[in-house]
Amino acid sequence: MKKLTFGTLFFLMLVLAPKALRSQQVRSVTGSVTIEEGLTPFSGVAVTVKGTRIGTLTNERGFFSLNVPIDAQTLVFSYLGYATEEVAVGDDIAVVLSQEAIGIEGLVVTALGVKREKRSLGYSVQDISGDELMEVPEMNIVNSLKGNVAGVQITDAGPTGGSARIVIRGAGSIAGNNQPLFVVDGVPISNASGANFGFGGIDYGNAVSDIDPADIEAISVLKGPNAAALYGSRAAAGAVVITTKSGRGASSGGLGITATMSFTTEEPLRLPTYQNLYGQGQLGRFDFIDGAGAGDFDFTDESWGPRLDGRLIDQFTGAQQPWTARPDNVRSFFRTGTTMNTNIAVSRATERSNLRLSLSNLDARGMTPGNTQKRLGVMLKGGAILSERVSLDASLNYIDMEGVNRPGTGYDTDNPMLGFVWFGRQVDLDQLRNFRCTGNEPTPCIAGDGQYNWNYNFHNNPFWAALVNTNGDERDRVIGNLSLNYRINDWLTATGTAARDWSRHHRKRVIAPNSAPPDGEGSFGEETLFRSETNLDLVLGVTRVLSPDFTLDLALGANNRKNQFEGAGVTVGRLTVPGIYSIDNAAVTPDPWDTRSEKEIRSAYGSASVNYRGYLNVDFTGRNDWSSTLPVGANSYFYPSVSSAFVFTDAFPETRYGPISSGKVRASWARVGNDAAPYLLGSVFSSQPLWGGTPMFAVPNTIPNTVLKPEATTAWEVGTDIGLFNERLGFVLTYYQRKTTNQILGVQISSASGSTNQILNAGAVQNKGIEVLMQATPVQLNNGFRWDMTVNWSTNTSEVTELAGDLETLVLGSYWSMNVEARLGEPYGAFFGNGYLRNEGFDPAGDDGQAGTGDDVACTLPRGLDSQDGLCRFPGSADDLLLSASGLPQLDPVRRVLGNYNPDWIGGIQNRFSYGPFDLSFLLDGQWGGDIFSTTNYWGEYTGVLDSTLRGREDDFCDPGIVVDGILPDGAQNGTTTSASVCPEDFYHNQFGIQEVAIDDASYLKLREIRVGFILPGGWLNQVGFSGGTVSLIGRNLALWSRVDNIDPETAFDASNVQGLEFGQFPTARSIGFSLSLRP
Amino acid sequence: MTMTKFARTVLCVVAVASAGACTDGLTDVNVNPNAPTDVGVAFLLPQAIQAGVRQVFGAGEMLRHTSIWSQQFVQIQYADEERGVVRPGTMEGFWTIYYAGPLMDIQRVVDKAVASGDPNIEGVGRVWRSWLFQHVTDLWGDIPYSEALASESNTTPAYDSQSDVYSGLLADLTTGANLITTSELDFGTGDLLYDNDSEKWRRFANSLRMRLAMRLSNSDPAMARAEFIAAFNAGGFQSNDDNAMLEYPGFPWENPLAQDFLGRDDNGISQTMVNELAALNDPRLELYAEPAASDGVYRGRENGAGILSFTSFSSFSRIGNFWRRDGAATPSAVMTYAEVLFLEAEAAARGWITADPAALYVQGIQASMDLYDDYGVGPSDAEVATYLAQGSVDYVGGAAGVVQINHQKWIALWMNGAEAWANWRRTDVPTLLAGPDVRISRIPVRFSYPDSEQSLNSANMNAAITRQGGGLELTTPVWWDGT
Repeated sequence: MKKLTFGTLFFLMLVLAPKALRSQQVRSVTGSVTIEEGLTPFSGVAVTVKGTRIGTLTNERGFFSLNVPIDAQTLVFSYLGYATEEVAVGDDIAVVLSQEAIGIEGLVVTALGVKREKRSLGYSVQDISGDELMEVPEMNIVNSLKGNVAGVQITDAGPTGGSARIVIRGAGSIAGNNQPLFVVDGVPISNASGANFGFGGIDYGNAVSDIDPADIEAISVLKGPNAAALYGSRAAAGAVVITTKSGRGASSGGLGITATMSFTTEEPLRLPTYQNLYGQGQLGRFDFIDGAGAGDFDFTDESWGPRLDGRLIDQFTGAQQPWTARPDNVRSFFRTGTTMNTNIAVSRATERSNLRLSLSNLDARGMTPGNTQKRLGVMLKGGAILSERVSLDASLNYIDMEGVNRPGTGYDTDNPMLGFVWFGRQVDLDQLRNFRCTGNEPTPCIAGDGQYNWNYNFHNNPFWAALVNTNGDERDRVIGNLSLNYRINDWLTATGTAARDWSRHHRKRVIAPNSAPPDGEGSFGEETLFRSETNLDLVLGVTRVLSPDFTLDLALGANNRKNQFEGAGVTVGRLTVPGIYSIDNAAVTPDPWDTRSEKEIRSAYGSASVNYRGYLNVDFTGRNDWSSTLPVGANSYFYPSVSSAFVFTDAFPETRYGPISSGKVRASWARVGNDAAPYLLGSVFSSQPLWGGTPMFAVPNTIPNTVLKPEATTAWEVGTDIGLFNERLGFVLTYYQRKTTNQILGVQISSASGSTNQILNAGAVQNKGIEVLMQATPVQLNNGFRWDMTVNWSTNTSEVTELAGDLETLVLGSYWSMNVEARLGEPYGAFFGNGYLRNEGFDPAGDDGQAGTGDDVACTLPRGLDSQDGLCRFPGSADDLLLSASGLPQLDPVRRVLGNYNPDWIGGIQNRFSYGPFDLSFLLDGQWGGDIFSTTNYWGEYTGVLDSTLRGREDDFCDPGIVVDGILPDGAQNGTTTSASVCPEDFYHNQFGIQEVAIDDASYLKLREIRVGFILPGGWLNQVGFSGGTVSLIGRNLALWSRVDNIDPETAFDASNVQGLEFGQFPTARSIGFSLSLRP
Repeated sequence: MTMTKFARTVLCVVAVASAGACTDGLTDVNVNPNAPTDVGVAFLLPQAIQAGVRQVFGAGEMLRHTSIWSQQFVQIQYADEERGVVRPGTMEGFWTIYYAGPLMDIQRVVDKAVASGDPNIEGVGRVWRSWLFQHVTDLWGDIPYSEALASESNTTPAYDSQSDVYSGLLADLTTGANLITTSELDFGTGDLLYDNDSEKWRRFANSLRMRLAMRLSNSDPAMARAEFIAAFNAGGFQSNDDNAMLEYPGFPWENPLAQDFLGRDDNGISQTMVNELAALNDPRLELYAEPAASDGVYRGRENGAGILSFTSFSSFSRIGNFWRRDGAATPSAVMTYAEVLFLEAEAAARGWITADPAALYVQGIQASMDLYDDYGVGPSDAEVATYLAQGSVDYVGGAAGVVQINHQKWIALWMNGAEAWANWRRTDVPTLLAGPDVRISRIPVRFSYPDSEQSLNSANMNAAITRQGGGLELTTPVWWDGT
């Protein structure tokens, strides 16, 4: 068995292959292809004889020459992102391709990298060309998709190089991954995310951001299992299929150089609105002695101090300084960021080979001091026809990504935004730029290595946090694939592919001595993560024209996939000599860790596509996986799909009625299985750091499941693609339903059982939704003026329809007791927490079985008994707050659903105006509905830094006070007969624990992109070796409208399913700059 | 290797008949290489000991709750718990740490010992399990006990009444002590408390049994008396050498309070404690507290005052540097000879055992004063003699004597918030007043059940709440409280 290797198999096929085809009569056809815009020659366009695989590509001057069978009638001209043209065979054919592919014509990349006619697809696939991506380039391609694809929701975390989360058609898996599979040139690649965490951490970005957008020819978004079923287990959440540029169709003589460059500057789009009337302190008092409690409230990091009226107060800058407002004291921390991205590619092609080599360099300077990010990419891609039957394609992409001093995230002192929530509003940040003590500062600043700060109780000086407590990381990555194609005969092809995505990520973090407690002695840690995915595929493809009316495409394949992860690191808790960050310098035993995991999946798959007369197409797919993560005997699972497309305007030309110029209806059904994470079938003891020399282990908390079954996702969709007014207006409408059942869950159980979780197959989530894509050319004038418009809109409703047994909820994450849950009967992602105590009534008999306030208490006056529902409540509305005697709102100890992070709908509108060499485009996108829990608001009100906390202290720190609307314990409405006024400080402190106060509507609208482009005249460019170019002014994230104050509601908490939480978010960058592209 | 597997995959596809090709070797991939699937008791016991001690004597439970509510410590900033405002999620965390942490670890020790027929290890396991369960029931009252820790066999364990839990624990301690018959235990370096000294484990079991018995003095005096006598006769601690002290080996395993103090400065010493010590000129004041930075005076801060009367941090005394600045290696006193002497003194005063309560009372004070002699801190013999010579310290006998004993016990239980709070709840000694800014009707007398039990084990939890007349509030007494 061992001797039967991959190579031998190929050899066998070579030997067994049938002899060469009979020669047949041919004629030669020549012609040229241009694109509309300026009649530019178009290279790389595929020219094929209809109904066959006979074809060629146009060269750099747009010319082609092809020998076609004598009986060939029609040539098909196709290029990704352009409408496909069919032209009768003739002499010297001239074809013009249209860039805007409205309607059903054009090519699109589908599963396994197969290019298909849009018209034949029974499911929804939306594509974006690389040119569109490059109009307003983004360093992270995931962010480029924002607002551009219906049904796709993207949220990002903010910092330069930070991660972006993408979810297609809602989250279906309760505990698993809900992000799509990323595929580059047919090869799945890792999109592992260095997530940030609620209580601190560094956001290392998501791995797909390694790909330079300038190397991308097109992206196809396969929305859900219907389109992606062939990709196997990971297709339930859809797939993003990226095709990179190749050298095909390039010039055969000389080097064809393409150059693109963009430069942008970044500023914070929105910072919280802070108050500038009161400084640090509490109870209106402040006096600095040591900044740690010796002075009057000098320990505090809140702004309930004296009014900023210029009075003289002892401060961290020295005794008796004027107490004045510093309205710019947060904005001045940030600097102007810059991002420069350059890509230079050379490509060359001959009749039998093609090659493209690109070099890309990204150099970004973040908005926080000291933060930079670099990405160097080298990509080599080539193809060669080795013989009449054998061709070879290969690509190799090397990426070196390097980050320096990425800002901290979450509720952590290394996150500057958190430092500004717990802050004295009078602090002059410019005074802190020199963060080391010189000896001239007030105590406790000690000259030398000491840290100069505004407060010595909790926080680091923000410049210290950014520049002294450093972090650095570097990721090397190699993505390569090699593909051999063997044409066995004119209808049978074998393709073998070997591909690997390998990366090594090294990270180092340093905490300097004299950092804020508890890090006074300094520490450091470093770790290295290795990740790889290896795929081996063998596919047999069959194309048969069964009759003039029927064609059949068959594919049969086998795949072996292996994922490996290995990580190791060490933390050194304390250092001997300050400033030497080495394990050798550890003052305590270093704490090492390492972990490995491995997973293997073997698959067999097949697809069949039957086409009748070009207008009716039926596709079947089937795949069987054998996964290492499932129990023996139950590790095999099969899943099928079927889809059909019917171009009714071709089948029945009379349906081209009125404005309808083309129309298609489609339907599909699919089921996808999904396996488990590694090692869920058994449990292991967790080791603890050595106790002196004694090893210690803890009993595992999770009960494993030895009879685990795969998850199942079943989905169907129906839709129609309609072209109107001679393809000036097009609609793509889709309705879908998707249900994921039998989910692999770590269900929480009563920890009194001694275990906290049990792995079960349970639970179901249903998603339903509508997607609308509208493309239009509302104006097209003879003088060349043209207005194009694209609208994406989608709505998704999710519901957790089933959980294990009696279980009512599964907590996805909990921060400050704000739970994000999968709760039965609620949309996935419910907020569950404490709200205000309201006048909702209580059961006087205490027989409602509910524990909590009010039980077993007689219904006494002045409460009235509401006879309608038998509940005791005060006169007034059920929404009225029940106040304490002092007039404060109270917390309802019975927790409840307070909101949900899912938007009602999301959408984007892209407009493009072009006239001669100019064009202007802009993209607006946003979401309606959905909730967000903001800790910037939660804690910013607690600490009195936000503008909103001026309520009640308009005149002085407790004057006039706040009279809260609500019902006092004696039943009176506060502010009517009696009036209980509270100091703002007490009012806002009292909100602690009531998460409801910080939940807001997350609706927003963003001016996402603006671009003004100019096509450079060819003349002088030709002299330097380019045929043309474009220069553009570009802007991104230029304006934001939102319901919620102080934050950008478009925020990702981390890459997990815990979303809708904002934890000291890093400000979104508003970027403005220019881009230049030159083509050969 | 990979190629071979791939070839197998291809074969699996090409020739479906050879079904083995699809799965051969696949299972091997899923063997977790990172950690063992089983370990011996010598590696589980230390984890059960240290994790339990870390919970009871750690920052979360003691600094913010038990030592606050027994008015030994005070919160000088973020003064929420002492005003009756518990941070959301904390009870949840404590409950889970007890059950899914050290309790489950020690349960596994007992199970393994039973399976391998090792009564000595089983005995130690039962004793330590009882120590853990005693804390859980003292905090929450009725708790899952007889059905707890069964893992997948029972994921919704019923709650036992506290009286049943106490009966079970007293019986378990008796059984446990009787099972330990060897002279030398066999835990390797894993016995962090007694280094395999079986006699000390027996004395610990009997001492703990005395503590539990005395706890029932209000709620079940007959059982309290009978159990106490039996435990006393079996023999508790004989000297400070028998103390259950957990010594810390160094970073990262340091005294959890000292580790917390590195990062936070939220606690001072309570005005109640400072005043009580000062009233009797107690030399332990200099050990327990540091003088206020501003003027060198020992000055505690009032519990439950919020920020209403706040002046500045430097005007209050902090907790003594033996636990704070120099506290990394300071041991946690899990159970002391002094406590046992005060238990015996009270039992003698109540007439349960035949002994001189006055002598035991003095010995208790002496043992408490000497507790940290080995660490070079605490009062000198001369200071102790001066203290004991004061008329105000003399044992007066009768009901007042019982108050005196428990008053001294409260002082001696410094740095054992759980026991100080429990003993105060039983005896109301010393008299503690809720502060001016407390937001609930009294000083808390229980922990509230966690949210997770509301959603995951609600029927059983609600039955327990009904039985006790509450359980989600901090103000409902537990059964043995008696008031």
